[in-house]
Amino acid sequence: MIEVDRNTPPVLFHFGEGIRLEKLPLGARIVYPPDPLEPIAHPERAIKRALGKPLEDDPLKSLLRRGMKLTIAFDDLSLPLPPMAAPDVRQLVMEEVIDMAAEAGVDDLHIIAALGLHRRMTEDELRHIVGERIFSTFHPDRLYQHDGEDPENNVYVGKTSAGEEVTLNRRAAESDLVIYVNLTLVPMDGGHKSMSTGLASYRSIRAHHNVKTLLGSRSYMNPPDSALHHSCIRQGQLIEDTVRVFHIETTVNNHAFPAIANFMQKRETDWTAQDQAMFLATKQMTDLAPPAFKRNVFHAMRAPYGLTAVNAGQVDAVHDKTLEAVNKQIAVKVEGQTDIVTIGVPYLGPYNVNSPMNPVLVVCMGAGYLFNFYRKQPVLRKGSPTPKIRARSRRGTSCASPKIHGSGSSTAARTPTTARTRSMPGTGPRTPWSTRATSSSSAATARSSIASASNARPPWRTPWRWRSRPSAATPASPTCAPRR
Amino acid sequence: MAWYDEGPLTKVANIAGSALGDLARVRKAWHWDAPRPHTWPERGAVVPAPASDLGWARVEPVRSIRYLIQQALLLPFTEAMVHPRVEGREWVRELKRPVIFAANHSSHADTSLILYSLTDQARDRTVVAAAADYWFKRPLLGNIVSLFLNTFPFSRTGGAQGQLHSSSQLLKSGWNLVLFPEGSRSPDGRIQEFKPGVGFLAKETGTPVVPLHIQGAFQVMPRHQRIPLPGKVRVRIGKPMAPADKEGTREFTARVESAVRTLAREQRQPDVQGTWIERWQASRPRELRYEA
Repeated sequence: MIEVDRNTPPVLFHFGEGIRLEKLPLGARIVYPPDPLEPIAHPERAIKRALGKPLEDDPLKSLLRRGMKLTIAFDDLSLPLPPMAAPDVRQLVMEEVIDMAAEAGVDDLHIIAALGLHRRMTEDELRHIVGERIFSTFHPDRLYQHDGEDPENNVYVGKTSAGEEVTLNRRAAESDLVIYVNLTLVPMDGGHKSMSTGLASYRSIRAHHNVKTLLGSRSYMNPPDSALHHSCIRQGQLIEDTVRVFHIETTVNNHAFPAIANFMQKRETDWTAQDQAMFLATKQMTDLAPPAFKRNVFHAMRAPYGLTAVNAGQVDAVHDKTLEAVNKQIAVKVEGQTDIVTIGVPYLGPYNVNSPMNPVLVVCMGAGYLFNFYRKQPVLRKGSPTPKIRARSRRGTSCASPKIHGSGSSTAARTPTTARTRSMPGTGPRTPWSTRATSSSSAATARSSIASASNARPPWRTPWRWRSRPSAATPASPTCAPRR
Repeated sequence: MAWYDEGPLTKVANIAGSALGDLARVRKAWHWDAPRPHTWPERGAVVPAPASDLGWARVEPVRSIRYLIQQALLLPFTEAMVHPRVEGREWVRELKRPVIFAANHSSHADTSLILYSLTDQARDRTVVAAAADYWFKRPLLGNIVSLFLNTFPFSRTGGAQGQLHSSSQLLKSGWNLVLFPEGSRSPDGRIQEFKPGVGFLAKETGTPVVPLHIQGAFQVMPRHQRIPLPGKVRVRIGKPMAPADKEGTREFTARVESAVRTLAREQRQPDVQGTWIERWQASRPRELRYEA
């Protein structure tokens, strides 16, 4: 995080399928994502090791036997963002698992893309995730996508103690062993949420994907304080009682842009002449090119993520380790709150991979995801700003440049603060403001800047929307995770 | 032998004598002032010239030229026109020994589609049996096709033993062979009866046969259609089949035919493509991973 002074260059913002430089007012604080962690040098070895010595579970090899019914499920293309350059870590993990299954002679093996209620993937998208070898061997007979709306292929498992209904993919429910291959980018992902959402139907998902859990969560990025996760955990435990699950979770660093767009993940103070030239070229392209062309260029970018951790075994044990690794990569400590937060909403969200972002998704991305990328308190102070999302369209095209403005209170007007988060960490020296933040902020193409202008108002004087919660009452320093 | 036969003078005299004899013979044989016939009598087709096996098409630099032609023209064109879906490619990724590809034949596009389905390595070592009486009736056409597709003339009429012998020579020298056991293109797109040549070849050389089924090629380029039409094509490759010891030629041919028909019929991956474990192991990447 840095504070804007006279020498601070203008700051890069995404706005939809475009980018722009904006000069921020003096005193504004900019939240940058942390630098990418060093990836694991030999992913295959790390995966083998994780499968051989799982956490609180037997080695995978000993769980596989001839004649069993084995199902492998994996996360769909909503993760990571942007999509990972081949080979995807899920492909690497699944190849190791399948090798073991082949050695053990497991004839009955199905691989299911755990879509939940997301859109179905095209064959090429599926091939990109699992790799050519798995695709050609298993598709379409044994590699297919979960259909949450097919009553035939979803079974009712039961009700949780809180009355939530649980359904599960029929094949998974009837398997002797389900191996879930997950990729966790932010703390919201993974854990029990994988099975209870990815292989479920609407009947199950409606229990937690609703307004009530949203209002009861501070925030989704902090699972212990998230009603959604509590609900998922209850459902997941019921699923674990029904079917044997072996969980494999991976995390990646936040190396989200390929070399050609390197400037997007650098701090502006670190831009070289080459980065400046690339910015100018990209800016001209986004200003002049037709929307379809821009979209193709942006969506063609593949992130050269590096694997930072892989853990296997029992769901809870694995997920604890995974969260540790994720937080190490993405958490940024931010002191105090701010009156105005400026966030550039990028071209990409989990629901529009390879497709245009529509106005609903702009709000979802800005007010839903980006605003909620915090663990204790939002960076925006309660009461001051009414978030307003403005979609600016150029030349009558519908592809908007969304920008979230918190603006409003008089305090804010007097003491302008801008915050921006950017998805990618820069490499420059850290300022005293910045505490360690390591993270995989992958998906993020979004950079948000938090600008807290003046000295932060003591939170306890602020009328606080979540007053009842102890964490909000303490003047502690909130941590916000830059989010993709 | 006389005593003077060895002497140098004698040698010179002999050479001069034979040269004079040749001169005299030539002088007597052509009479430039005599009237010449308007036409020469046609050479009678009493004994046909032995068919060329087009060996030139299987040596360098023709192979490299063909590689460039295929990469630049044939494969992109095939991809653009029909975007073929290839299933079971792992069986032809790495061929450790030559195989016979036995495919159904409904269209001229079949050969291109089969070559498209192969890896570069396998394609480079593959010859295609082309009907001698169709493709090689006009030598120029035959040679051009051979440059593009690496065809060799395969007689459908008579001389079966000789033809099969030349094919087995190719197999023995390491070439994969594309055969259309139906003999000719199907008039209606349906699979016709297989001729036993494929079984004979496989039995004689001990070569495995890879059953192949091409679906949709008939719509792309049926008989009498000269320009291919865009369409949807699926190439399905089965697991290589080796003839059993006691199996006869015709039984093995029947087994290959039924495999191709199974590939055609089943909607999902049929057993003739092998179990997933077999396919997975067949697709194991060959390159070693050197780890520090």
